[in-house]
Amino acid sequence: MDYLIPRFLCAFLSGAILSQTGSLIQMGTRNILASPSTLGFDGLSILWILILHSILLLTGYEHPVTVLFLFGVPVFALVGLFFSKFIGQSKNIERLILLGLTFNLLVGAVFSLWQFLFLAFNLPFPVELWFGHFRFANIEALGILIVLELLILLGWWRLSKEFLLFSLGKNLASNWKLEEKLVYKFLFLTVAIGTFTVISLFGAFSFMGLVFPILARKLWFKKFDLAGEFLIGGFANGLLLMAIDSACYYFPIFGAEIPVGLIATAVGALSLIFLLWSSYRPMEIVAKTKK
Amino acid sequence: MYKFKITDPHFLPHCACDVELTVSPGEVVTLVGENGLGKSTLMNRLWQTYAHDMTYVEQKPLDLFYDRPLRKIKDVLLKSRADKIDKEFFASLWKRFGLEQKETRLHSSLSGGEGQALKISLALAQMSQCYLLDEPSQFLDVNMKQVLSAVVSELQAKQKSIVLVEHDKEWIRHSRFVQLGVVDETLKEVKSWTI
Repeated sequence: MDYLIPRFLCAFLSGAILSQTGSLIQMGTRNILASPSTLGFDGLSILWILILHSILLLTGYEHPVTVLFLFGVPVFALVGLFFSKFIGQSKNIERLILLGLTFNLLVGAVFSLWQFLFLAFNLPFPVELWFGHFRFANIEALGILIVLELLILLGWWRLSKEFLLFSLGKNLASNWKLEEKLVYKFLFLTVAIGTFTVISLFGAFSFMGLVFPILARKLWFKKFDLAGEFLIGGFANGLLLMAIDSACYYFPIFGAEIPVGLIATAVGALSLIFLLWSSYRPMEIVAKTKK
Repeated sequence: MYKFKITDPHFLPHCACDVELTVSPGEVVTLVGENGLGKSTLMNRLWQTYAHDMTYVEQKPLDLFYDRPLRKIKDVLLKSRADKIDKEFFASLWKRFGLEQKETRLHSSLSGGEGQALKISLALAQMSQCYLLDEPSQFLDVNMKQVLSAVVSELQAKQKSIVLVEHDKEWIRHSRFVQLGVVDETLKEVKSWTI
């Protein structure tokens, strides 16, 4: 039980953070297909971990997961700041999403190649890099997630008025002297560091930041705004991920647990196909004539 | 008093002249000119220069992310910028543009004219020294146009400066107008111009 409490809490917090980063980025870019995974933050995180892991392995140092995390945070803070300038002013988000998805594909290929090389040279491939799994949850990881979540909530509380205004549209918000730069900085720093933290601690969780916010929006669709989506949606999605993880733990198949990240990627990819398909369905209007 | 001058020859290629615009408090200036001349660009440039004390109503409709009822949209604005809103004026705008009866309707269900009325009400609620209105009467029906005209007169009475882009002769009749580009002879009948 001592092991299970941190594990389930880690699952809960990871779910909440992924959902919140997705909500922020979707509202920031005003596009429901934007997410940490579709904009390439997932790919960047995995690539960085692969590189850092290999360097640590070559130099022969011990490499607990928390070391990977600590090395990456400053880099991803810079990535977040860069994206806040780059994407913040971009109007062509669809193209950036395509770019991000293609980048993720590239990283997927590099990942497979890396795995192959490890096999070829008879080296043990690090299990931490596999698809998201809370088997590696510990007190340290839980501490990191709690601090991160508190920082996100603090930033959100400080900027909540700005976000309220931002949700009314960019044209109107700029009139009312929105602190646009600050909003974008917070948004992309949260997305970059949040995604990197979860991925460096527990492996890849593709498409969660995409699907969770959409799920949250479906639940309270008419009265909804970012405050509800961010707080209630984050909580609900945290519980959902915790439930999926406990299902993986208590009902293993042939003694092996299915990673939560793998399930989420499969469901997320299916949802993305459904979303794209339904949005491109041509609408048919037939005029009825009186006979 | 706002003095604005552009000497960039590429700014208004059709016009091939310098643009010099002076707007004093309590004055309504209407920019007139053929389509694609750069009137909106000029407004944008003006707003970028004086953004700190100007309100700019663009041609584009609002790009809301969450589809909310109008009451909620109003509350969101009141919550986020309570200190900068003239609440009495905002309430009167809301009432006169007929948005009070439509408060339960979702933004996505509004027609073009209703959306325009909402956009104008939300923007004009701000206490500014100068208002830049880019074709504010587009999509509005006859009654709404009258309301808009009355609102502009009220702002003028409060010593606010207003710069408009309009193609309607009624607007031109009641304000100083600045014609850009090729001088339109038909407008001479309406009013003689000052530039």
